[in-house]
Formats: sequence, C-alpha cells, structure tokens
Amino acid sequence: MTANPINAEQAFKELGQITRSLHEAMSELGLTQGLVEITHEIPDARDRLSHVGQMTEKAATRVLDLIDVAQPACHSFKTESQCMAAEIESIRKRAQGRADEVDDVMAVAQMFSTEAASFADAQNAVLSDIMMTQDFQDLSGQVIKKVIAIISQTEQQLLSLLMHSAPEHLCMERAQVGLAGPQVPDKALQQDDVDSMLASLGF
Amino acid sequence: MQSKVIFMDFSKFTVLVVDDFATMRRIVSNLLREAGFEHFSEAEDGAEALRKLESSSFQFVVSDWNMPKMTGLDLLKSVRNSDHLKHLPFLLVTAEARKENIIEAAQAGADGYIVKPFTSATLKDKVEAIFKRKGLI
Repeated sequence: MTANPINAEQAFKELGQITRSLHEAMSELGLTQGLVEITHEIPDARDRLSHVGQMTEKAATRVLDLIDVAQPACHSFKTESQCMAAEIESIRKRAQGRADEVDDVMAVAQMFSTEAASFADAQNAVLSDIMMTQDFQDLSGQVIKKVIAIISQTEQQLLSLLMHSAPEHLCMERAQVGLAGPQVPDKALQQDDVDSMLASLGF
Repeated sequence: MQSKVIFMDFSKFTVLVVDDFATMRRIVSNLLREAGFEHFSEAEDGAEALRKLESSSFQFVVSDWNMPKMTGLDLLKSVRNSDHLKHLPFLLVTAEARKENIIEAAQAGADGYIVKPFTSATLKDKVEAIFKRKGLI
C-alpha cells in the first residue's frame, strides 16, 4: 500500500462528515423515532428480567426451607426405627420360644422397623435430589445478571447516540402499543385496582 | 436405595462456604452436612471470606469463583500468600468451565475444581480426595 497516510485534522474532518451523513440517514429513515422507543423500553425489560431472577430465587429458597424441615425429620425417624428394630431383636433373643404368638408379632414389628429405617433413608435421598435441582437458580441468576449488564450498557450507548442526533426527541411521550405481558409487582395493577377501574367505567 | 455410609469422619472440621448466591451456599452446606460435616460458616464474597478466615479457625474452604468485591480466585491467591492460611484445603465450585480457567485455578493452588451444575456424589468424591491427599483423615 502506497496510499498517503492522512493527518489527524483530515481524519477528524472525514469522521465528522461520516457522522453527519449517518445522522441525516437516520432521520430520513425514521430511525431516531425507533431508537427513542427502544430506549424507553429498556428499563422496563431490565426490571422484568430482574423480577424473573427474584421469583426463581424466592421459589428455590422456599423449596430449600421445606427440605430443611423434612430432612432432619427423616434422619431422626431413621435412627429411631433402627433403635426400635435392634430393641425388638434383643427382646426376641432373650424370650426365645417362650410364647410363639408374641414372637410372631415381634418378628413383624422388627421387620417393619427395619423397613421404616430404609424408607426414611430413601426419602432423605429424594430430598437431596430435590435440593440439587434448585441449583438452576444460581446458574439462571448468573445468566440474568449478565444479560441485565448487557442491556444497561446498550441503553447507555443508545442514549448517547440519541443525545448527539436528536436530543429533542428524548422527552417525547411514548406510544402504548400491544400487550405488555406480566408486569413487575410494583407496576402491575392489583385485582382490586382492576375491579374499581372497571366499576368506574360502568361494568 | 442409597444408604449413607460414612467412611470418613468430617465432624471435627469447620468449613467456610463462599458464594454470592444464597441458594448455592445452602445447597453446598447441606451436601457437606450429608457427607458428615457439622460445623459451617458462610460468606457472600471473597472479601468477607478473607475476613472470616483471618479472624477464626477453619479447616476447609469451598468457594465460588465469580463473585463481586473479591473473586474466589483472588481469595485463593490471598490464602496461598498468607503464612498461616497457605495450607488450607481449598475447593473451587464454579460455572467457569473453560480450559484456561482450570489451568489458572490449578496454578493458583486450588486443591479441587468442581464445575456447576454438579452432583452430590461429585462433591463428596472431591472432598474425600482432598482430605485424603492432604493427609488430614
């Protein structure tokens, strides 16, 4: 390449021209309007995402709380059942052959206690598995945090682009279009609000 | 059916569980409890963990990597640079799963590395391997 390197002044001049034609193209294509709308949507999108994060965390915490109640109960039930089985076994040994009917009942009770201990152990294993499935909250939470950071960055960049191209558009009212879907709780109307609104409209 | 057979007695050790997500701290603590540990403390980032490590006695650290304020890797480096903490068994449990992450963790002196999501069996295996290797049990 033998092209003459341009000096800084020329470079800035050319950049300025490119920027100007980009602004003009954007206005002609109506892009600034679109950008303004997107910029208004972004905080809402961010709130919704963090709401998803909060909901999954709350659900996961609730499950973990329930497991915390159930697991110690399994542990002590297992221990008690094991003690019971051992106790019955030793009584049977001591009383060998003295009363067959009683021994039959004792044999059943001993077996039942052994099974109860296994049952408690198996239920505890199930609870552990249920607990492990809650680890999605940590991973989905990390993804959501990352996406929120990306969205915030994009918002900053869009805003600064708009500040340069069309500052007067920024305070414009945004048009309400389409269905918004589930809202974050502090933005959503409660059922009472909906009812009273409908009532005031004559329904 | 899973029968709980404890080959190793972890009950005398105190563990510090470090993760910025409360859910994960609880899951890790619960799994360690099922494995036989009885004494726990938690920290939500590396900085809080380091304060706890310096002020009371722990025999094991299980830490996430990606956390605000101070990452798990920086915590590990601080531990290895400290005269009285440098021999502390340190297990990283993290969603960072690139080859260079694992190399970096190994170079910083991690005793074990578990990639999220993990199973309870994986955690138990790694913990047992670390305590065996360190001759603590």
